[in-house]
Amino acid sequence: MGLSDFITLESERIMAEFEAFAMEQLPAAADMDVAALRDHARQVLAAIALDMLRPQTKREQREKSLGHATKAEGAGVEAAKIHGSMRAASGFDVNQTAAEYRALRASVIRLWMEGGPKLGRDEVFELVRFNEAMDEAVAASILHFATEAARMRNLFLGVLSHELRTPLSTIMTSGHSLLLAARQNKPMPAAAERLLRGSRRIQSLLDDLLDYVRSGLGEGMRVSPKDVDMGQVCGRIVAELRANNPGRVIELETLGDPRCVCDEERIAQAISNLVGNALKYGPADAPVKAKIDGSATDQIVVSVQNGGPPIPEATRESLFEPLVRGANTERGGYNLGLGLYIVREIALAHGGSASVESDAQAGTVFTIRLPRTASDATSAAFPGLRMN
Amino acid sequence: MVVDNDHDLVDSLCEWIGLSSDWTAVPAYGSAEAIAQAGTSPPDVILLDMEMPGADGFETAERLGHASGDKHSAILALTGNADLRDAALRDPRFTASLLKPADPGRLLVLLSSLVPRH
Repeated sequence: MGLSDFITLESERIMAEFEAFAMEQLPAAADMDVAALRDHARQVLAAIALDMLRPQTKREQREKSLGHATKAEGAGVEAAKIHGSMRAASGFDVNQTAAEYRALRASVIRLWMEGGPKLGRDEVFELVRFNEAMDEAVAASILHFATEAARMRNLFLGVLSHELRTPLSTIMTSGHSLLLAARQNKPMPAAAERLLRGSRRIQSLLDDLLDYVRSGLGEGMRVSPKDVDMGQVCGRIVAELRANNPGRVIELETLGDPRCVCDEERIAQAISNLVGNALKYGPADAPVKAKIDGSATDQIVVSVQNGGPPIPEATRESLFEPLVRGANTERGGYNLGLGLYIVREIALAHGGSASVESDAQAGTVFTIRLPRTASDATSAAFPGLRMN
Repeated sequence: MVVDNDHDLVDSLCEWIGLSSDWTAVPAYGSAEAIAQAGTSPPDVILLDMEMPGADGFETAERLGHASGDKHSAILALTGNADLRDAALRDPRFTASLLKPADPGRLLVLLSSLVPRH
C-alpha cells in the first residue's frame, strides 16, 4: 500500500501510537484534553496525506527542498499554521510543538514499515514527499508559534504597563499634594494612604511577575514546607479580605483535621488569590464560601466557591494558563492574568493540584488539593515535588 | 470632572486640583456616573480614562459630548495605554490626550489653558 493511502486508511492506529508518545514526551500535554491533542494532529496528518496526492513538478520539488515558498501552499501548511498558533496559546513551548511532528512522523513511518511495503521507486518517492510535507508543516507551525508567542508577549507588556501606570499616577499625584500640603502645614493622611496603597499594588504586580518569570524558566516555584494549621491560615486571609471588602460575606468552614505540612506564605498567597478572585468575579450580593476539608488522612483540600455565572467548559482549562484573564472585570481590579497560574504553580510545587468546576447550580468552585505531608506527596501521583 | 474606575486615582486627582487651584473638581467613578453628571451640571473640562470596564473611551466621549450640550465640555483623554493615547490624539472629540502618569504640574498648566475665566 502506498504511504498516502496508508495514512488515510490507518489514521486510527497512527493516532493511537502518536497519542501514547505525546502523553509520555510532552509535559504540557498532560493537562490537555486527549481529544483536543488528537484532533489537531489528525487534521495535520490528513492535510499532509492530501498534499502527497497533489501532483508536484520537478521545479516545485526543488523549491520546496530549498525551503522556498511554492505558489500554492498545501493544506498541510495551512493546518500547521493553526497548529502552531494554538500550541503557543495553550502553554506549549517550542520544543514540545516541534516534538509533536517528530512523534507524528515516527508513528507513521514505523507503522508503515511494520506492514512490510515493497520499497520500489514509487514508495521511495512517496516517502520523500511525505518528509517534505512534514518539514514544511514543522516550519510553518514553528513560524506561527513564534508569531503568536510574540503577539501574546506584546499584549502582556501592554497590560503590565497599563496596570503599573494607574497606581503610579496615584502615587505621583498624591506625592505632589502631600508636598504642597506640607508647605501649608496641612496634614493629609488620606493622600498618604492612597500613595501607600498604590505602592503596594505595584509591589504585588512585580511579585507576581517575578513568580511568573521564575516558574516559566522551568525551575518551578520553590517552597519551604513546615507544620501549618490551615484553619489559622485561612482564618487570617478571610479576616483581611472581610476588612478590605465591607459589605461582602465571606464564609469559612472547616471539616476534619486542618493541620498539614506546607509553605505557609505560599499557600496563603494561593488561597488569597482564590478568595480575591471569587470576590471579584462573583456577584456582590452572593456569599463567597471557603472550605477546608481535612477529613482524609493523606490530603487536605481547600475550596473556594462563588455564585458567579458558570464558566464555559471550553475556557475552564485555560484559566490556569498565564496571561489569561476572566471575562467579567466589571468591578475593575488589577490583574495580569497571573493569579490562577500562580495558584496552580504553588499547588504543583507542593505535589498537589489545582482545579475548577463550574455550573449554574453550584456556581464556580476552585479547589486546591495538597498532600498532608511531603511523604504523602511522594507516594501520590506527583513525583515533581520541589523543595528548598 | 475626573472620570476613572480607579477610586484612588480619581480621589487623588480631585484633591490635587482642589489644593493647587481655585477650580472645583468633581469625581465620577465610572462611565454611566460621568454621563449622568455631565447631563445635570456640565463641567468645563472632563479628564477621561479610556479603559474603564464595560465602557469604550471613544463612545463615552461621544455620549459625554451630547450630555454636556451647549457647554461643549473639553474632553482630555488620560490613559495607561500608549496606543489609545495616540488614537485619542487623532480623534476630534478629544481636546488633548495624556499618558498616565500625567505630571501633576503640567496637568495644571494644560487645565488653565482650557478652563475659561469666570
